[in-house]
Amino acid sequence: MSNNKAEELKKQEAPQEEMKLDDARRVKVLSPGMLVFKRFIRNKLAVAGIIILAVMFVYSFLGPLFSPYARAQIFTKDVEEPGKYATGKFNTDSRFVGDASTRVQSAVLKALGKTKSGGKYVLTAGQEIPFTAGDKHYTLKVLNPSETAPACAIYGSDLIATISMGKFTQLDETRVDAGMQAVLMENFESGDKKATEIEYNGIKISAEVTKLERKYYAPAQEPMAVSTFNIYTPTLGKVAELQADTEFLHSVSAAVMAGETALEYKGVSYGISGDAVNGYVLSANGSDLFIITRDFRFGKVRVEKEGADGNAVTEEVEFQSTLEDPEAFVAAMQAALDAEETTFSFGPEDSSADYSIEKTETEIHVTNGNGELVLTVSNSFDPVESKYDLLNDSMEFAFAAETAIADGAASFAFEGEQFGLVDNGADYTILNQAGDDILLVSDVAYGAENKGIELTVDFVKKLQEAMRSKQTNFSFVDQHGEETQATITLVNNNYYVSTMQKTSLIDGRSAPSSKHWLGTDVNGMDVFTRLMYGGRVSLIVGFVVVFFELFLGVIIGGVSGYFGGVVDTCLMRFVELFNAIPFYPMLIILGSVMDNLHVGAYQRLMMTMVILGILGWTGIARLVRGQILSLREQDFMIAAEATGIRTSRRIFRHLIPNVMPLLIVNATASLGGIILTEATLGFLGLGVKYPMASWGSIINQVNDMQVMKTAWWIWIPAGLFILTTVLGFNFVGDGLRDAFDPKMKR
Amino acid sequence: MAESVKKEAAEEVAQLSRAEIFQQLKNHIEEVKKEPPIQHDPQNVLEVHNLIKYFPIKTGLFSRVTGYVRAVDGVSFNIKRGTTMGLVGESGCGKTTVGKTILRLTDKTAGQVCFNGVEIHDLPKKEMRKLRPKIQMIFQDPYSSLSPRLPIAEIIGEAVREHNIVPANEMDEYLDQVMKQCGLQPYHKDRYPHEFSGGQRQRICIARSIALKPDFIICDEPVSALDVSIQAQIINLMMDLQKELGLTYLFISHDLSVVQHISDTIGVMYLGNMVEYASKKQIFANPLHPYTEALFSAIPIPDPDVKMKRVILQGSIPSPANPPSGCKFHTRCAKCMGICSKVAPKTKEVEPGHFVACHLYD
Repeated sequence: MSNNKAEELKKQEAPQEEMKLDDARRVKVLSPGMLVFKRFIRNKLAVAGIIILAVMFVYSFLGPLFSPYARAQIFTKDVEEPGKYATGKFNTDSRFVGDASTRVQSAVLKALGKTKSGGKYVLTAGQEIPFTAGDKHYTLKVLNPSETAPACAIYGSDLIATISMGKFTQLDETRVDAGMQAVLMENFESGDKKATEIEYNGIKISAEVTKLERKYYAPAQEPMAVSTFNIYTPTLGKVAELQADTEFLHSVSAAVMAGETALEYKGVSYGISGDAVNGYVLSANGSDLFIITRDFRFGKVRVEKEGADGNAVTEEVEFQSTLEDPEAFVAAMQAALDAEETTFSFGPEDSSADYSIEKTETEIHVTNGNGELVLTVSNSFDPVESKYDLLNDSMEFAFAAETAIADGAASFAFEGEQFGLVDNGADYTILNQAGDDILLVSDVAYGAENKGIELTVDFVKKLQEAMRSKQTNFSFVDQHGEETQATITLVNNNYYVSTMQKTSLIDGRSAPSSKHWLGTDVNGMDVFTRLMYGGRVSLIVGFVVVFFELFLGVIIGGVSGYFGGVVDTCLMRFVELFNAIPFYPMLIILGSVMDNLHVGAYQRLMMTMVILGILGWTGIARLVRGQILSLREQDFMIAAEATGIRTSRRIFRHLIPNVMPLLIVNATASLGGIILTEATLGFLGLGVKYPMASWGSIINQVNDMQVMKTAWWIWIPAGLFILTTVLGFNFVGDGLRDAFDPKMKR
Repeated sequence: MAESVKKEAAEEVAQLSRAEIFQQLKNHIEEVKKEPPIQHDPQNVLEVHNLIKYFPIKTGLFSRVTGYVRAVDGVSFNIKRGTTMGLVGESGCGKTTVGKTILRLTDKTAGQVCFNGVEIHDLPKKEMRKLRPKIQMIFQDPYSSLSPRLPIAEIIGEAVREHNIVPANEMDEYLDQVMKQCGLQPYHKDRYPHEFSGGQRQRICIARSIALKPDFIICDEPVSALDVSIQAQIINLMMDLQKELGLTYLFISHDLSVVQHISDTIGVMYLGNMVEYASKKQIFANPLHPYTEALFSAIPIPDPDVKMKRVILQGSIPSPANPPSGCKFHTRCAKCMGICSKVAPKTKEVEPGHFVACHLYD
């Protein structure tokens, strides 16, 4: 520290030594390039321009490498909106369970309708109403004489006897006894064609009279269909949940394969019973959940076949198609499995093939001699619930249930199983033997709004509750196990349920945030990333077009200026011809032509550059020509000629170096102009197209008034980028001009 | 009296149509071209005989030649080795064109330009290029005659290298020597022309010329762009170099005092013609041609007490595209006679070595 000070003092004390005229420091002259560089960096604006351009280049060309988003990545956002979920309705139409044709159904409704009085059904329990549909006789037996929602059983009729030409033919031994025969014969002989209703021992017999014979029908003993206003909703819930759990299914499969009879999953014990042939039953807490059966899936094998040209061709076909009797194959395989063998043979005796069985953790694989997998056996899970689903369509069950409901019984038997019936006031719950809810019986019809929605039992229960209590809001657990709020709107007796639903929307015009530094544009793309790719295009277009213009302009202008005369005249007329082309109309026409031809985005970019170059070189050609013309007449060119310097040397040592600075300056300055032109084209929608971007085409979105008014981040940054880049180029151009100008001292 | 003569002359001119004049000129060119080659006198470096340079006037869509600008219209003179000839005249009288035609920077129309007995304009291009270093030119404007992109060493040395005047290894020394000769410092070598003043630039131009070891230098108003003190320096430099190197100059100028200072012989040009040509002494002592008289009367005398006798010329120099008939000077001549407007005067040797073209001396 003190040392430095001492030195400084010394320096100050030392007398200023006089510099000699040929002192090295004084004589030292910078090379022309260095001189230009020094002059250039002394210009603050030019340095600012260079910095701007450097930033723009780094941003545009290196930025995309670091941007986490792709060029045309569209961002979406999840929005919760009220959406239609389901519709509920109090069922006012009879529902038929069982074998009832539409003709019968309409006849039933007609017969029931006749009993209406004051808009209400007037019926008694056990009342029988005969009716006909077509030629057939039917009987309606009232099970539940409700005023609003009666349940009836529909009985068909059995032909019990015919009397033809006085001959009695008995068709139902159990019901036709001698007494009945006598009554029927009497009816026949009376000849009264209208006497078709006969009653015998409480059996109502109807007669069908034709010319030749009379047919006698008695009501069927078993109902053929049940008409009810109730809807049976399966309510055994947790099975579907388990079925969707692949891990659970996998562990059950493994247990089945291992021959275990019990397993524990997530703290719940499950039992497995049954055998491989009839299927296993998976149960928990005493109720059956799944029936597990074997599922056979045939693999593919290679088979040699005769091709079209007679040569052998190897084709891949499904193994099943090569078997005459696939079921026999499966049986043979199962027999081998039961015998716990690992190989078996199958096929005609003379050409039987050997197959090997391999057990994996959850599957059985059967391979042929070639090592090809011909059969895979896996477990298929059928929810036991589906057994109860069947009950829904079972007339017998409906009959039993409706009868029980009409009787007010607490239970009823069906096919040997005892079912419980709980009256909840407005609806009923049917329990299975294990005491689980299996069906909800009510007169509420409901349907999901679309396929994606599975209505849960909870929803149905809550919906009915809400409908009955006339609530407009309720909450339920949806198919994904989430508590959901629902709103009911009543329109024409239809209860429309809507919930807040998640929809994926394009995240367009979102304001700047930490995720999107400059927000997103109309298409939901990240503006900051889009600007990077746009900058690439804009800058590349600028450079390529300028080089193209320079190439054409220097050659044509140089030739014209140096040779002069006729060549000059011809070339300058050519230049004027190009200058006469209206620039923007031409571009607009070419743009729409390219639109029409569906030119790809990349080709479009190329074409735009070529067109801009072709329409823009004339200025440079004139400039070069003018410069060369004036330089040619300068004294130093004459001096060069007078000193006998070669023509080539005159051109390259004297002419070109004097044109170059002008060209460099002009090119740099016109770069800005071309970027502006390209931006204008983009703004007019004629430049590059999606998925490519340019700064101009980004600003194009401002055509939307909404964007202009509210989403400044979409167009202001692009505009600023164009502005600063063009300014940068102009600063650099000015700086270069000043630096190249040797007359500028300092 | 004089006015009526002028009127007559104008009427006669009007009698000849443009096409007829054009035809006459074409015939004249053909005549001059047929003239036999002049005898070479070894004393002379340059012999110019009847040199004609017409620039064609092109009109119409197909650039048909319809007339000539008679820039140089039959000029003859000889320059002896080691002497300086001054060429004076008004602006636009064709002095520079004479210089450029001698250098073959523009092609002559007719006549003869012999350099050391060789007709320059008949040389093939290759030979011409070899001859170039021998005839050099110094330009009027020292600013435009140096390429702004080349350093001084390159400007001076380029042609030296091109013509292998000195071996490559001696180049640096040679350049230093030449620059010193011309009053430049060797450390100026790497500088660019814009770093120099006008006088220095003219020194560079001179250095460029003498570096080629020429015999003959055409100085085209080399000092008219410089201020007076610098003019003197440059003139003295040129005279010194002439002594040292035995150079021959053709000194083109409209500054008579400079010409008087440097020249041995003086030619006076008017509208493309050499009207008077004599040694310096003869011409200053006894100017014969009325134009020379008028021109010399314009030389300022640095003595306020001396009353100058001025001959004031009326009007300005006529267009060389359409010069007056007969003697071209007759429209402005105070001593104009009837014959002047009709017949062009021939050049006559009035006293030994004193040539004049005027009807007064017929």
